[in-house]
Amino acid sequence: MKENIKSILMHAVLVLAVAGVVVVLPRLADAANSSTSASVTNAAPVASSPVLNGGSDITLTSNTTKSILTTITITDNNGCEDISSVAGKLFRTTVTDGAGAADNNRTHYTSTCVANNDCTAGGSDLTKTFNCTFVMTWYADATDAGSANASTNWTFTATPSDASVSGTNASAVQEVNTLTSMSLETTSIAYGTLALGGDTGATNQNITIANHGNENLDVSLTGYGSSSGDNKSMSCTIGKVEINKLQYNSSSFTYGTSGVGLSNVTTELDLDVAQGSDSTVRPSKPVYFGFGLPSTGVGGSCTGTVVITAVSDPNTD
Amino acid sequence: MKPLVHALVFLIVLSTVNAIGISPPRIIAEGMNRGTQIEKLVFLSGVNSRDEVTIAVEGEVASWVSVDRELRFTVPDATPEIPLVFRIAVPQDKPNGKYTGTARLTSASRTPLTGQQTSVSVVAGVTLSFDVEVTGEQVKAYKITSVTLPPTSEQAPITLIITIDNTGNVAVKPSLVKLMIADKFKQSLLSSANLTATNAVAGHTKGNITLVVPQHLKPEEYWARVEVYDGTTVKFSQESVLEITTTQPAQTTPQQPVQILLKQVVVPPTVRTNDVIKLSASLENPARPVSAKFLAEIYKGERLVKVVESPVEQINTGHANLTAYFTPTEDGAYTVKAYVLYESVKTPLKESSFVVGGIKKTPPVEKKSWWSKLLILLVLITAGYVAFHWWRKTHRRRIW
Repeated sequence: MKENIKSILMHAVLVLAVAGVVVVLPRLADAANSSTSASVTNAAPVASSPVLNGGSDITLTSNTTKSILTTITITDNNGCEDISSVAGKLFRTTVTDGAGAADNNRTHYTSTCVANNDCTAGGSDLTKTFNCTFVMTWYADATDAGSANASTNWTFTATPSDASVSGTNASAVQEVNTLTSMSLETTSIAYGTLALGGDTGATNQNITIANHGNENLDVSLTGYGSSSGDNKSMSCTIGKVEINKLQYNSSSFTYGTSGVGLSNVTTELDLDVAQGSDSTVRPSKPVYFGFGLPSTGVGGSCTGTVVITAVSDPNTD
Repeated sequence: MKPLVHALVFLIVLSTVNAIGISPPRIIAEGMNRGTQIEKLVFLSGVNSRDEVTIAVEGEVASWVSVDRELRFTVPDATPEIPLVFRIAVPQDKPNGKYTGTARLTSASRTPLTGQQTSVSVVAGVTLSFDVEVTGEQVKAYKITSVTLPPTSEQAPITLIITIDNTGNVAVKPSLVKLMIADKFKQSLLSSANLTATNAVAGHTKGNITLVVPQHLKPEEYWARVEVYDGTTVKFSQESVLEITTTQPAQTTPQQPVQILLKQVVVPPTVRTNDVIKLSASLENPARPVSAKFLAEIYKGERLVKVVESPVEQINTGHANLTAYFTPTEDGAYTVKAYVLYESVKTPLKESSFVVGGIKKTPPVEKKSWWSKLLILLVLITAGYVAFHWWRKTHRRRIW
């Protein structure tokens, strides 16, 4: 009995001793430490080294979009991991409201830039690079020499942000080259049967010219019967038709009145097909044609070629 | 009664749109001295595959103009853009003055109209205009398009690359370049140097001035400010990050002219029809990063079959590879003429070749491995044994 009690008491003392160590010891340690705290001022990120289209002028592609690549370096003195995003803008420099203008395929584009995997977290690495891609349409305003906006250019600007503030942006400029482009959208056209000495009268056939570039367009015309410069409009089974027997104009006409005779010499027609402003619509205008046969000297089937060339018309003159 | 003539029945019976575009449509060359030349890169786009393109140059400068392609060629399949390099070489005997000319580029379908006894083809074209000013005077005109400081390692010199677009007719270089380096917090100026260029950029060209500066900075990021002077005027200034690394960055001798080198084009020597062929371009970039793409013209005999290209990619300093793909549909011997496009520059052509032969064989029927057969056999034996014993058990006569 006494042995049991002694054993119980010894166990109890042991438990109490362990509990005491567990409870008291941390309090002694606390008595030797004091807590401190501080906050770090946020530093706004700074952009530098902008590169637009690799440092080259931008050349667009007929009737389609083109991806334009840009790069930017962002520095944040709190560490590169503090950089949260970069907003990229690409705009014609003189557009109203500049970088803050609304997006418009002719004058202004916005891109969310994508970070490269070059930031080492930990605080000593302060920089991170970003790529921004802008998908430009074929009718974005040209700014090169000879264009309507030759006095300006296009600006790429990138503005970085961290979780708290937007930082300092950086910009680069390049030209957008003029793109002179058109399509001839036609259907099969039948003049019917013409008698020798007859003509198409007030009935015209037309070819529609659609603008696939980034400036206004005129066209120039020439043609030949069988070979360039032969001064013919048609070469027939029997004989040939003079080149001026094929007439054209920018509006409908009666043959022999206001139609312009085709010529060996390329001749400009003031058509003024407008630059596009909507990716679903291709501005277009028709060119009207009429034809007449000589009274003698031709027979059978006839063939010929008309050459329609797009002409730059930046000032719509 | 006058005889009738079946004339001009149809104007262009085509199932596809006839289209063409050019950018830029003008080459303006001012201040050209006699005996000098200028090159410009233009792009033809929007033309239909397999149409025939014809280039005809007219005007006062017709004999001065050449192009790096045949004057009549067929557009290969799936080619959104065709690069053309036009060169204008001013003769030695031309008086001062302004001279003009045009190149008319036309696109026509090669498919003849069928079923029509009488027809008129309509050909679409675009015009590239030339405006050349010949002068005996020296014209100095240039702009600095970029200043680059590639990363460098500790103990290695800093390389400063100034890209100049020289639109004048005399060689140009900056009169002075100042380089100032501060710590990454811009709190203290660590070093500064006044530099003088030894090489210049020739007239009517785009090129680089490379400057080398010794340094003893520790591996770290720094801020570098560069000021480029023309006389006493600051023509260009920029602040950018300069990185000093601990390892040697991939960079060739800084004294070399900066340009992309297309070292080789690798294609498999023999392939089968309908195989997808990988064309690999091996590039070397001795200086600053540039955006570039690789193009390969694929010929079968004399006929241009297709132009394939890689996506535009950022080519950093050092070695790089670009890849394009092609699938031949006919047997025969093919030639590849490849180049790289970057910053309005087209590298010299690199040629390679391959042979396409035979229809792609269907793969042989895969034979089952021996161990799978053994496993099946064992399963069958086991199943048979179990079935036999079950049958015996169920059909054994009872003795009691």
